[in-house]
Amino acid sequence: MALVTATSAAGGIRAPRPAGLKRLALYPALIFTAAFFVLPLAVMLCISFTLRDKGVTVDWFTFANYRAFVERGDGVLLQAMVNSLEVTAVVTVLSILIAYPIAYILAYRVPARWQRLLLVLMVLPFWTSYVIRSYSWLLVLSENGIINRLLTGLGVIAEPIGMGNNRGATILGFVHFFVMLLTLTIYSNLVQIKESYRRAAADLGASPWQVLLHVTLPLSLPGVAVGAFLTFVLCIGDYITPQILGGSKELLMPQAIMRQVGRTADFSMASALSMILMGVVIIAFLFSARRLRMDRL
Amino acid sequence: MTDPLVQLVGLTKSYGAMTAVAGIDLVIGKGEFVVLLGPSGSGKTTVLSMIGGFVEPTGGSVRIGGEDVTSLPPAKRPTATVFQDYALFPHMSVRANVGFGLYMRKVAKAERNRRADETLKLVGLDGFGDRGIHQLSGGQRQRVALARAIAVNPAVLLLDEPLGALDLALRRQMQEELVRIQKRLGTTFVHVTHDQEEAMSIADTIVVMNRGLVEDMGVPARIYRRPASLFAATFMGENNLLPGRVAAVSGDALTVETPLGRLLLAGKADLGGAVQVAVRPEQIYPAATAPENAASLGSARVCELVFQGTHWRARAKTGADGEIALLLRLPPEMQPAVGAEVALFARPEDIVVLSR
Amino acid sequence: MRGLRQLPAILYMTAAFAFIFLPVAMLVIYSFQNGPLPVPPFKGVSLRWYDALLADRKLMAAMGNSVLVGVLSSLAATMLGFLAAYAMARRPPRRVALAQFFLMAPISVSYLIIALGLLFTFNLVGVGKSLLVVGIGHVVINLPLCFAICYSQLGEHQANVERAAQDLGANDLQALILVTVPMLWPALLASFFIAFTLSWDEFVIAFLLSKYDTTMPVVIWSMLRSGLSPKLNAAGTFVFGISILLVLLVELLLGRKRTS
Repeated sequence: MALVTATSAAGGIRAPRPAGLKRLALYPALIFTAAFFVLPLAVMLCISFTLRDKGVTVDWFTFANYRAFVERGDGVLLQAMVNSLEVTAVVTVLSILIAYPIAYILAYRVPARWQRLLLVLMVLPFWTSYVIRSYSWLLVLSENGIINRLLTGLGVIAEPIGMGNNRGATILGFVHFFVMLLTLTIYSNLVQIKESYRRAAADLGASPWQVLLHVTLPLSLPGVAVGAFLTFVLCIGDYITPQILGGSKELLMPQAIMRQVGRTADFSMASALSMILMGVVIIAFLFSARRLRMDRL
Repeated sequence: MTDPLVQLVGLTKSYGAMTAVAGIDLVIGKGEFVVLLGPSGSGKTTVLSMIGGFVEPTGGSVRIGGEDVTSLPPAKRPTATVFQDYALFPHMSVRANVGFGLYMRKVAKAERNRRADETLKLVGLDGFGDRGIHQLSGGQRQRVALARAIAVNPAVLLLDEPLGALDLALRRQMQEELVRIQKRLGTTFVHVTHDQEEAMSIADTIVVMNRGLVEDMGVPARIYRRPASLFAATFMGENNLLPGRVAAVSGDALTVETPLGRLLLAGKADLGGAVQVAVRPEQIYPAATAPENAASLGSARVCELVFQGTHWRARAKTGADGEIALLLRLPPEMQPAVGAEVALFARPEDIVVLSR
Repeated sequence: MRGLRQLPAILYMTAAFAFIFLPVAMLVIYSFQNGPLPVPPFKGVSLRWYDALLADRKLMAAMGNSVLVGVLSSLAATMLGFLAAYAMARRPPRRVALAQFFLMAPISVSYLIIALGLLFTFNLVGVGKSLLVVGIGHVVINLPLCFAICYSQLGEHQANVERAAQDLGANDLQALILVTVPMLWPALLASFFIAFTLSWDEFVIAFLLSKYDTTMPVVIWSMLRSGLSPKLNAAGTFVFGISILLVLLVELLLGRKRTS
């Protein structure tokens, strides 16, 4: 890198590069990210190819951990990945479907001077942690919780039913969070779409639904894609929500990883699973990046 | 005037205490190229938006082709708009943009594309159908916007300062093209601009607007030469205004007392009333080029001089204490000098008496 | 008629608000529960669970740790992020894009994986778990955000103002301290507070990288094992309340900038 910089400076055809301080200011962040983000990931990648047995490294290069991901315990780990993908897909789709109308109404139906306030209010719970949000849903869903009280009170059900501790509860907790995230990204995209596009479409005879379908929706896809990507990444990697709300019947990928660390201290297996999870995220990134580029054309 | 197509009756728009359009009555004929001309804030764009249906009037009505469309949405009106920022859909090809209105009218794809290409040809963009909007230059975008609006075959085409973003040379060229296309289609064009030269070069009829009211309306030459109001006289080109007093009235002839002498002029005003007398810089002549029937305006001392090719642009002082400033255009072959006294003449029929 | 047309929108927004605020409302209301369970029926208002919170030595110590880690890591993240954003101006666009991609990458990696990577790496070089390591983890997750916030407020305009200062004889450092930092202080504060809200109630990294001295979310997590309790509600309400205050402060800071 230093060599490249030196030659391009010697060549002298480039625009004058920022000198001194301005050049140096970038390096602390780059070095920090390299040392505490890239290096640890590289370490994990290396560890993932070692095999440990009872705390002792027995093999320095093997694909055993990756094989175990598929084979171990009748594919319980593979199933965790499948579960994670299913939950994440459902959460992403549901969150988009719920958030889009919220963002749309905020951007186009609410008077401009109330929009900001309403948006800030709407996403206020976004700023609390997964732990507290998930605990709050536990309160709502518990056997003595507000929903069971309401349903028994109305006579819809005779006895309180357990609503926590299953996939539905995990999805609910996730959707709650990601609806807020997507509302933010979609709203900020919608308000950037020039009003004259919608005016022009209406002028040319489009009904409100046609304007939405042919103009607003396609133009807001970048906002949806950014939000969907963030949702995917954060959802598939979260340990807390499924741990608090999901119960013990099924395992999601982060829980599977945490198990390797907690019970058996199998850092190699934990690393391998982490790499697999990251691989899935990278594929999702490439997918959405291509989508975004297509939209720009 | 030909058959009336658009009728505005007492059209009003206020935003709270602010009045943008203060009760306008206007009749636009079929096939006319009408330009709404005025400074920003004069209400011209609001009027256009009310014809197009984007702004709901607070009073009065809009009739198009005899039908009251005041409460109809834009989609249901026989109008199409060329927007100031063009508003071309960035995610569609040129052809899809032009065909959009036909698509909304459920015209089959083949027919839609055929008509889109035809319209593109009309605006001089033959073969551009497959391009993306971001591949076009400003002038080309302008043409696509025009084509998109024309493609739905509107009874009235509304143009909201469509040439504002173009550079001068391109603007001139587009002005000519607009006129050519308008004559060819025979569609009624209503065009908004603040550029009086643009208005004069394209309009059949100019509507001069100020503060939400119509100041003057008519053919460009008439508005330029015999403006109906003080505002119209000063907004359209440069003008010299002199205070005057009506000393005598006989029929349509007035005798007006001005700082440059007593002038016998055509016009209507009350005896003894205060008026303004307007005379264009190019209609004030030095002795050498003065027409036969020109009346003397006395002489003035040149105090600023700029050569502009077709003429000398000069500022001069006159009146008893030199308190009257005049703007002059002296012939290029003349060799005036700063400080020189120049005798000035003007034809009475070029001088306009304005009482409002 | 106009109102009627708006009715579906109003209904939808009301339902959305109810959905989003239902759990938060339960959390806050039942933190004042005058009884042992944070579920209906509501038995009257009491502050006893907040008293219990304040009396909990372990929780209070953890809160102190949370604030310490939060303040220091947010300061570090803001500083690194700001310097990087400042360095971006007037560089070749391709290199800017590359550096941006590199600095933003941590946002796409799960906190869990970041925490494990740090855990294994520090384990390898023989550094034990501690609040310092937690703080490093928090800088890793907050640096991209701080960088993005500062970068979004630093435009071509900013570069021109700096150039003007240099034209008038200021050196780099003077231009930075006398011009850039004062112009950007709302963004800097916003970035600091956002980082703090995310750090101070972060769980996974704190859980995996701390040992005896730990932070508030970890203690709350261990309280969770004994089931629902109004004391947990009180703790959650408190943590949430602080975050809200900071976010509103940020909104004010950046909102003011936006209107001016």
